[in-house]
Amino acid sequence: MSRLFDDEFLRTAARLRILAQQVPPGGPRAEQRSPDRGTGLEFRDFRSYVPGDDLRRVDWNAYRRSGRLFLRLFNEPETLAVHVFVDVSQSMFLEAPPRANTARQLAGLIVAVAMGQADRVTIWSFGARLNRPWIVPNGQAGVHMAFKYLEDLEPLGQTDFTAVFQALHAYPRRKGLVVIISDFFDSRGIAAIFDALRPVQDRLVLAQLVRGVDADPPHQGEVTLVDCETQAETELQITPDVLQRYQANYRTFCDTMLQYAAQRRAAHARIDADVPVLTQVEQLFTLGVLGV
Amino acid sequence: MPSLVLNGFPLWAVLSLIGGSAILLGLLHCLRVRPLRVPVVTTLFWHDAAQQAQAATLHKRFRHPLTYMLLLAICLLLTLALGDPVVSYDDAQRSWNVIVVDAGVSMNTHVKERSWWNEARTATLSQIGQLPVHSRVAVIVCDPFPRIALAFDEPREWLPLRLDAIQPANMPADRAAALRMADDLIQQSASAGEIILVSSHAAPTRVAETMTAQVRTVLVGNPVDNAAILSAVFAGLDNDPQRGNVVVRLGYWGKAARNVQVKCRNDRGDDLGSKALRLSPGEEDAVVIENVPADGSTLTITLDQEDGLHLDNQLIFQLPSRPRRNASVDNIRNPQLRALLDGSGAIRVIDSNTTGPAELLISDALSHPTLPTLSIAASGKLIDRPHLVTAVGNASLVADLEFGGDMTGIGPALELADRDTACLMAGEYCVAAMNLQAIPPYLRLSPVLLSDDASVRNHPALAVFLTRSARALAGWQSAVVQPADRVMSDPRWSDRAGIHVSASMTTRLSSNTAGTQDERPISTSGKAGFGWRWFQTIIMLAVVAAGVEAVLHVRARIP
Repeated sequence: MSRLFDDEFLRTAARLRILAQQVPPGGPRAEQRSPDRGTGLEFRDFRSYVPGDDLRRVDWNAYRRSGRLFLRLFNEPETLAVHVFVDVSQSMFLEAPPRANTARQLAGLIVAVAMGQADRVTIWSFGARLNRPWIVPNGQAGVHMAFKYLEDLEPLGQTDFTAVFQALHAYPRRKGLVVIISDFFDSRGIAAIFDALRPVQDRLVLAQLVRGVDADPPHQGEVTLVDCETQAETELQITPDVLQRYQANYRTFCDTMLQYAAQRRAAHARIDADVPVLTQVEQLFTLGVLGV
Repeated sequence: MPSLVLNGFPLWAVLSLIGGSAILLGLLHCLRVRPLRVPVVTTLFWHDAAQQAQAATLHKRFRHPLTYMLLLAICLLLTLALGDPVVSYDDAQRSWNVIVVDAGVSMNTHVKERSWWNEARTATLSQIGQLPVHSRVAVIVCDPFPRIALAFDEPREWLPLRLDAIQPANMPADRAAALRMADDLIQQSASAGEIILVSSHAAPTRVAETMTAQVRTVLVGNPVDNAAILSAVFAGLDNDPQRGNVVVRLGYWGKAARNVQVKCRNDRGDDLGSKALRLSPGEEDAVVIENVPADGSTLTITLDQEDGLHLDNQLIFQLPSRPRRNASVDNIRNPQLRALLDGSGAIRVIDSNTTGPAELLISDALSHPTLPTLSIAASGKLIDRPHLVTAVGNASLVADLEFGGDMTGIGPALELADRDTACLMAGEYCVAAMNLQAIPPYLRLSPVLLSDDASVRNHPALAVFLTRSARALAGWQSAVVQPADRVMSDPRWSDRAGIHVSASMTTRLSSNTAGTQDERPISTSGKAGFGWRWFQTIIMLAVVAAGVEAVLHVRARIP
């Protein structure tokens, strides 16, 4: 078992489910409900017979009662395309332990849950650019391979949501669930992030990785702060006044994230990188279910 | 121009040291204010916060230079404090001031529980406080025996304690003598000076006009119409040492001239006569009570009328007792000397047939008897062997005089005034000689050296010498060496032939005053130092500056 993913991890994943209210059609059979009116066992609706329909699906009881031909429609279980975007920019690897560990663990959990319900999972790592997608192979072995893949991820420069999601368009993909696991510290600002996500029509889950020092930094006095991604230097004297202004700015950032998630009807969770991931899954999986 | 010296280093050296320290401090300060580089996950939120909190005040903009200046100020203050700065003046640039504070009987006057002496003390300290720091000041306490309470080279801070130890005398002060002593002190400085008399009366006009220094009077108390007996002294007759005149010195201070009458009675109640003087305000003069026997009796001298201050209207004076002394001349081989001594009215030559102990042993060889000895050299050689001298004090001034001069017997002989005279120096005779000097100069001694040389034997000075020496010895023996209230001072003290009050003597004089016993040797390099209070002040400023710097640092106002 790997250092990030242990047996407890898999046991927890087995208890969780991702439940999509609407699965885009076209996927293979799985456990998600699809609007495809297929021949499954769960009756859903009638429709009028048109020539060419399968006569075995005609509801003869309804014909006897109405004298008209109707077909039974059933829920067809299909796969959900889960796209897990893992931020591997430089900021995710600066601290000790790095936020990238929490990101990888959360991504691994999502992968394990989705793979457990036969959903299709693609891992997209990004930073300054979008890495080539990695499709998780089917089966239990695929989950372990996904764990290995996640563990081997390397830092990838500074965060650029705009470039990443522009590059996403070049890849044909089935719409489904997009899970973005990131600290969302894009030097261009949060507005640029929202602009970059506008074309994304998938159901959205925003997992914001945070730390206690984000809200309450320990720095004091004369310092030169160096952005680990852009290498931009900011010289300042950290006085109580300046600290208060920083904290206000950070709170505004977090509130804006919340408002955007509410606007997009996206799931949002603040995952503390200093707390074990498994103890924070309830933020996403309410009663064990991530409803999207 | 006065020069500044810091712990022995000239100012330019100290400034160079400070400049070097400033450079070093500047380098350290640059290292100190160099901000810490901290990598962070993002500067998004810091950048805006810093922009919003840009240095809006002058203090914030210049906080680094201000911090450096604060450090430099602390360094300068500490250097200044440790350097013990001293401003050096040449003596010629100083003013020399002598304050003569009256401690005579009139200063005992009390007005509403406060005496004139208290006022005089306060006025004296006030006058000193008004003098420039670099000026020289000495203080003479003026009572019947004027003496120096503070020498020029002593710190002014010692004066209050010394004045606290002084009480006004129960006799009038000899202000004239004190003023002459003050003038002497200033003359030694060869610079301009001022004498400040703090007294209930103005300086005697006659005396003040003879001063080389300017005399200014600070009056204390409310002057009252007062006549006073200032002093009395017995002056023996030339032809009869057993009789003499009593010279009584009087003074008067008032609004208009008046007659002052003096009466004299002995202890048997006999009226010895009265004399009168007409004195103007501030004037002093003397009356003589003539032909008084030197029998050791007590005279009561009084003024005839009451005035504003009656303490000084009466004087009790004890006459000297001068009986003929038994003198043994067995050791005198010179027949003429024996004859001359035999004819002296002051001594009685005794031999084995005469009863009574010998009080004087007169020999013509050097000896060391227990009794005072009149030694006469017979060898024709100068007596140049030094002898220890014992001071027999009467007036305190005598006790203070230096015993290293030619007249005291220690040191080389004086040159001959003429061919046949020289100064005689020998053991106890020196003591007698000292006392002769201590007695007013109408008993002036002409020293004569006798030898076997025939040309000297018949020298007319010999008789005079012998007579005066014998009488002086007798007078010395019988002079009243008593507590101060029995010994009078003579205004003719100022005419001390050949004895000058020098700067070195003032130091010695002050050591004999009733001081606080805290005197200690001090250098006489002409320093007018800042003193302990300056050091404390500078250190306090440095501590305050360091405290301010620490507070600003803690409040994160400065690095």
